[in-house]
Amino acid sequence: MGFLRRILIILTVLALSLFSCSKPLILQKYRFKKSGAVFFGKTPHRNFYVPETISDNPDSLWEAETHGSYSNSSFIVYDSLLYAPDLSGRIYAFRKTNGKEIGVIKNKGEIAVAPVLKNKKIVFVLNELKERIFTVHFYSLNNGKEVVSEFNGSCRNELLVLNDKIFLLSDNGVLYKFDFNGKKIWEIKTKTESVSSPVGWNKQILWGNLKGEIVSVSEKGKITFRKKISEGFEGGVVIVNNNLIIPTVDGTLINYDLENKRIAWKFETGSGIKNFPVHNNKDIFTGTLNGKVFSVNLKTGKENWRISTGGLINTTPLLFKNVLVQPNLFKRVDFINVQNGKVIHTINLEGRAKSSPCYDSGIIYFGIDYGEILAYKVK
Amino acid sequence: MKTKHFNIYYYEGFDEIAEIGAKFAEESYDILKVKFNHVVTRKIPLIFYNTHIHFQQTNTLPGFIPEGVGGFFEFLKGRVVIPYLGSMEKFKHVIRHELVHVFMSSKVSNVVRTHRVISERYPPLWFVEGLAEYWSYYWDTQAEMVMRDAVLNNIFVPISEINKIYGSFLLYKEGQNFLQFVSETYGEEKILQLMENFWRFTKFNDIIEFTLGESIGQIDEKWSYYLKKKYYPLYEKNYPYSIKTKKITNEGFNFSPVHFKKDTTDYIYFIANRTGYTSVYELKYDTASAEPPEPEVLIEGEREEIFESFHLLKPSITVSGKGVLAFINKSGKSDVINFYSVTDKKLLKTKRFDNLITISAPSFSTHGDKLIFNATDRKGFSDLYIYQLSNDQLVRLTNDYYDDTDPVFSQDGSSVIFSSDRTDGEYAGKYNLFEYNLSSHNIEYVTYANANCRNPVFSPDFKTLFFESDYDGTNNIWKLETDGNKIPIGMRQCTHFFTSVFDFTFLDKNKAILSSFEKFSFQFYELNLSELKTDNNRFISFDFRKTGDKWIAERLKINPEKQKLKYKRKYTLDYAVSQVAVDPVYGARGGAIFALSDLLGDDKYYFLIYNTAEVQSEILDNFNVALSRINSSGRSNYGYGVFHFSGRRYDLRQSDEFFYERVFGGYFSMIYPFSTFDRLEISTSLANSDRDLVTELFARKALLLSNTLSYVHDNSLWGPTGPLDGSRYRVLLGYTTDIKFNNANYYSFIADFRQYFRLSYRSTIAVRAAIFINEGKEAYRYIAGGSWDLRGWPRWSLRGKKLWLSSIELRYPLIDRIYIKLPFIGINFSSLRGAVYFDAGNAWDDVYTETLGSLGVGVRFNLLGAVTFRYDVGKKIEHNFTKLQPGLFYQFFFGWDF
Repeated sequence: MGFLRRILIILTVLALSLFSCSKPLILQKYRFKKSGAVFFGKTPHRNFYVPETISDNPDSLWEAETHGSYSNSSFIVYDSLLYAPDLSGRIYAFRKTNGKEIGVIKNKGEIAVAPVLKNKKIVFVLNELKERIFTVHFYSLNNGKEVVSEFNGSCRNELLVLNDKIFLLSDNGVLYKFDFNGKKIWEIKTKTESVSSPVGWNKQILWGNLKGEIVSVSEKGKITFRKKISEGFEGGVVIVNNNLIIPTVDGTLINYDLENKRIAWKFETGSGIKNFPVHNNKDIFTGTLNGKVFSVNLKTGKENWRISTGGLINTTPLLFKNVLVQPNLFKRVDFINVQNGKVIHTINLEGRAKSSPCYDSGIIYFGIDYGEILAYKVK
Repeated sequence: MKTKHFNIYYYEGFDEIAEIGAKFAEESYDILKVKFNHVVTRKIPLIFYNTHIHFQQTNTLPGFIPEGVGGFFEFLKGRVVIPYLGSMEKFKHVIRHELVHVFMSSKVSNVVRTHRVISERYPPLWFVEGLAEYWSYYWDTQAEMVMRDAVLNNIFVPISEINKIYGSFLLYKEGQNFLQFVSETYGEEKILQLMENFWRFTKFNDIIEFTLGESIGQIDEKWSYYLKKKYYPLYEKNYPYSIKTKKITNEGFNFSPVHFKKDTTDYIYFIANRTGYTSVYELKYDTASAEPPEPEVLIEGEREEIFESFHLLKPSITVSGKGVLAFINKSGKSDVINFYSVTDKKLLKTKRFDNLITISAPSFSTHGDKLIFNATDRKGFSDLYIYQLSNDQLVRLTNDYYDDTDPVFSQDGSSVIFSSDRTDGEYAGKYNLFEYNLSSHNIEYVTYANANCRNPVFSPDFKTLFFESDYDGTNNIWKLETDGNKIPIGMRQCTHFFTSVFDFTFLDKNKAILSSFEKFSFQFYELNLSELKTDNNRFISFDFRKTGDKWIAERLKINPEKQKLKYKRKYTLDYAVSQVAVDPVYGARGGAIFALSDLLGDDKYYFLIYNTAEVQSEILDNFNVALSRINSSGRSNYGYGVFHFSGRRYDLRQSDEFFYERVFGGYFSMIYPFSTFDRLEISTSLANSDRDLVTELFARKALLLSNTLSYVHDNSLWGPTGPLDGSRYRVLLGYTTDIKFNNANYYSFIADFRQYFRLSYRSTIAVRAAIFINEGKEAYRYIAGGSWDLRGWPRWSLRGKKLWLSSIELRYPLIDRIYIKLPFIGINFSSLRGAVYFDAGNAWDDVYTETLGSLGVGVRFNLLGAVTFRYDVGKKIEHNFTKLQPGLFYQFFFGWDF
């Protein structure tokens, strides 16, 4: 009897270990069809436009859970997997079609920006728990080994890939350049706090800082341009042709002509903007903290339409040919007609919509409080 | 009322202000969601009370809310409870302040939860309250006054030592100022980052250092420099009270001085809390005397219903030329005005007005036949009223939601000068002075300034109108300047004190008595206005062309049918506690307690369930369950319930034997308050009791009916470890009988008196005399011994159906504060109190055996206002009070002083 009881206990412990604990994220046997790198905004210009028409009546596909919740960054789809960084310092990989968990990388801290994926390497930034540092991890999905570098402060700015190199802008305004082996190539201190994710343009990295300056650094690590044009920048930066579209702390969208070094137009929204503006080369769309969504003519800076959604918008929407998919912190996602601003469908959620949506192969992925991923089929 | 983000609860008749409040609340929500980058997704319960008096009696918190509390956010049900204080600006401020608490609490909780770190953390009080002030209001006169006082009088405490002022009002204002400093020095975005980085470190100082990028020491240095740079230049034009005045009082907080000349002697009457109780004082004042005068208590407040409580912080006293003192206090359900002859030292009459809840700022006409005052009605409107003493008539002058206050009659009584926030145009909402013509009922501007002008006082010859204004940052005395046609043209500053003048009264044409704030205290100062050169002082001219249409407070547009609903009680869980325990005598036991209440806290249900069975077959025999309901919605609180208790018992109050008892039944109890200080308590219970003695072979059955009636009195004033003044007593009569089997039948009598004789502000002699009697068949025993009654004797070692106790104890301050500075944290121990005591008493059943006693000394220490630790050393008095024990006893325990 005692022997049987012992066997039962061992089997129970084994079963619990097998079914309740997450597996480390090692994808040795996976064969990726995809090549090249994927990062937040897809291109160095940060582009959130998907030139497709989607259904305005999405179907729920699957749900999955992570340990922590999410910042207003997004998940990344690379090949057949969805990678979800969370605020408890973990990165999960799920099969994108059914939400099955493949593995997880565990750390203690916060991952506030989307990782970069290239082949079997995942690069992410961890703001360390109980430490005054952040670490940059180059994690091999082949064997789980990683190269880690640590730096002072924290990083809440999205990573940028430009010409096969990774650029990272820390909150205290230091720009770092890495290769994909995790080797730091250079760093440059701008000595000004910056919480505006950088973009790449014309072999330069550009962003706006909290002093209201536009800063441009060459790929070789030299400041090539620095000019104060507002009281401060906070949201995301995008490049449209040769123009930089950047929101100020007080919610003014500035279209800055990079070639002629002048402001092309300004558009005041009246409330703070924490996300990236999105565009379709004709109109630009932005959501504000007081819950409004604007469509602005890209060329003239004139308002096409505006709507008031009530809640609070701090995530970057996805722009399709027909609809703008805009998560709202007030527990919903609105599908907005890009032509007239009419809300044509709303997904009501259980929790606050936290992450910017991510799209791949007809599926949109959202992250909500407190660590829940929702996948919706829209095609 | 249901709005987009709130469920708002209010009294009938308060609709207009409630709808304005709803608009404020929704506006605040929209502002705060942006500031916090966060939304509160649940509907926030907002409870409005039309006056502070009603707010004080809220059932959402246990106990009585003190006078100085302007609203609160309660965590149990996330309720925001706010009184309307007569002023829209204050209402808006408090709503926003409390909503900042709601948002901050939700934000911080969300940050830790989304990061999956330990969530039982909360920012320190200075940050919580500082943020609520910083994000709800501008840097106002009060904030400026407190910080000027702190910096210029070296009371300022840096962040590294902020626990030294924990719980004080200075802590709130320092917190607010610190966040303003952070915003100006490091950037406004840092305030939000302090919350968004909350997950990262366990110590808040680490979060500050990380967010601001500097050490606490460096930040403190910068903050100190920031404040000194701001306030030290004030020395050029401003002065402290010690330079320009003669200080008259030194103790307590003193307010509302009014002057009366009896023959040739000057008397000052005022309200103060010099002893802890707030009372009316009389001060015989000789301006020539160098000695500070000693005031005498004229009306002792807060001890009996008629003078239940005074409004210390509001003007509430005046005196007529004939020596009639009119003072206001709360008595029962509302404020009353008392008329008292200072010459005859006699209370003439007490006047209560049916529809008026709070009253303030009384002032007599020149002939003393009319009294004008401010009062708030059930709608929450704060308006002006005239009470005609001759015919006992009350006339209402204004009737709107503007806050009309501080009225004074003109010399001939044809008009009234008052302060009001009805200012419109460019300075809309500011308090300016107005004149109400009693014939035409027209209201005209007297002042028109971008400042708050209050408390108008005519000079004794009525030629000059003086008043207080915060034009230069804090309240100073200004005077009205007029042209040749007596038309107001501007105002000229008379005094330049660093900190505020609260009230003032003239002794003669030059001398005035001021109630002013300095060194965190409100004292009286004599000011000689003729010694101040005022001609070249700052002059502010009035441009009445800037006045515009009346400001209108916007109401929230609602659909009355869908959004306005009659309150229905819905019960939600307050708490649930479960426990499983194992002890060597009774074995394993387990149980749980649940408490439910409605949103207003009027009705509460308590459900208890536990089981003490040792084996499965005993489960049904050892089931204990009780359900109680307590209703406190009306004046009388009542409760009733049913219970079933069964199991093995050992009751100290009964035999020395174990027994099994199954008892079930019901009870009803009611408390009827005569006043704040006196109440009647009634209880009755019917219980079926079946008892089996474990060691003997007989059973006792009884159907017990028990009735008690108690009279309770308590007007005691408490210090940090126990009562210091006043008295407390309980007289109880009870009768318990077995109405079916006659197995139990006894009566109970308790008389427990405690009187406190104040020796000085913080020392007292406490006396207790008590007798407890249970007499009859199967009467319960009383227990005594230990730190709470007969010290030195082992706890609960004395048992008997009869018990007497007496104690006499000297309580005195020992050490006010010990601050231990450790490398990483400072620990603050405050209010160590000493005691010298003598106890006597004993318990007995039928034959009195001997008298026991003890004497000794002790130390008491209060921890965080929640628990008092006590350590006593002494000698027992043994052998029928004839001999002291050899050696000493040492006893450590917790509990308040008797």
